[in-house]
Amino acid sequence: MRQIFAIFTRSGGVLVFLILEVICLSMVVSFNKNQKEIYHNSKSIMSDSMTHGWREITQYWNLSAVNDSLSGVIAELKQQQDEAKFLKTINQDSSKYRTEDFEQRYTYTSAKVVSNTINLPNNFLTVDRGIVDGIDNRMGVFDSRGIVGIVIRSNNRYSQVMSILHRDSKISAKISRLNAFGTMVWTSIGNPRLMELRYIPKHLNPKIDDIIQTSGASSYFPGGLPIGKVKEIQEDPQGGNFHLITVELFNDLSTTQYVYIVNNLFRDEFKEIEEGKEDE
Amino acid sequence: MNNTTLTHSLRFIFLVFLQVLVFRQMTVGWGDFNYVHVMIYPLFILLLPIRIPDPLLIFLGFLIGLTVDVFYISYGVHASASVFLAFIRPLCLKVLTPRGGYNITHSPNIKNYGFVWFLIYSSLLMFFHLLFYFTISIFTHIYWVEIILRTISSFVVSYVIILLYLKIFNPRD
Repeated sequence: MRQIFAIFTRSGGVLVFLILEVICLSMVVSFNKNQKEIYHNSKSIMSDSMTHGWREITQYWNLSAVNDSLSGVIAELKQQQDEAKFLKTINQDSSKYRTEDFEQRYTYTSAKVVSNTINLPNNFLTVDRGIVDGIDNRMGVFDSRGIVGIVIRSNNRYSQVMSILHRDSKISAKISRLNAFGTMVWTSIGNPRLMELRYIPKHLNPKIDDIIQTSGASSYFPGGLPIGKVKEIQEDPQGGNFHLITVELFNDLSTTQYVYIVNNLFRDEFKEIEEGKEDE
Repeated sequence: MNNTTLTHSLRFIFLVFLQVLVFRQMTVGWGDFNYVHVMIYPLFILLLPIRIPDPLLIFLGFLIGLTVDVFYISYGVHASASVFLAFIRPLCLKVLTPRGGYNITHSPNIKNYGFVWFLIYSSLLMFFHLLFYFTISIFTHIYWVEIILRTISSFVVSYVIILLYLKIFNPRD
């Protein structure tokens, strides 16, 4: 008690000064018209600018949430495009097509990459969507810059994606300028930016920098997704009938964060006819 | 109630009367040229004994400021300025400590510490009091020129009046 008293006598002046000054100033701004107006105006200006400044700071904190929601929106928009749809009727005049003539063919789900490898002979990614989000085996995975891989396994919450950087991956692709179909494989283990495009016949003349896209001739990916561009064209040393084309991927799988998983709603029918199975 | 307390109490009442009945009318009567506000009540705080505890000093500053405010119908404006004045008085005394130190029973006046010392002491405190008063009374930095002009013009007039007061009444406590 005596110590408290001592503190008060030593710094009591400052304390009393602060208390009384606060009382005085609150009286000033509540009983005097001019000061009251100035105070309230300044207060609202101050609080506005503070709210503004605070928003400037905090908007960086939830950028990741914003990214998540944006990638969801992009997935939604992608499946509303005509490319994601199937034309049911065939009209002579293409301008006569109406909304009812289109049937949804692809749906997209956005996902976030949780883990990722690129340096192994067989690489996999894990994404944070699973069966509850409608993810199933054999769905294609791509991102805004190119294709990523194919879902091979999923549980309720997560899915494992076989990366295109995998010795067993075979992606149906085309040189868009020539419409020439081939198959993409990954042979340059250790270099995640290069793949090989096979089975482009010799009578075609691919050029350096030709764009490679998905062909659409598989059940995994819609046609026309960008993959990469031609980097190098060699003759087959064994004298085969095909070019040996090295493709530089647009996509850098080491920095992939957000991906879209594509669900082909016609997949079963496509598979059925491709594999020659018939129920009858 | 001893003699000192009585003297200061009477001075309190007298200065408030003087301020409110005489000098408030002067300010109003001068019409357009209201750059001059004659302030004489701060003299009460200036002349309080040196030994008075800081909290009591500040409280008395609050009291006289608020009393003046009641008559000026400007609640808080004079009070905040005189609270500030009472707060900086001990600091000012510390800075201006004369060679022999203070006799704590004394009041800081001309008789005890000389005319020049009192001139510096009172002008310093009066200036800050007026500066604080006009800052609170105008309450915006936009008119800082007004604040400075009013402070200086009021300071000059108030200071002359205070010196006259001291010449006439010559306080000893």
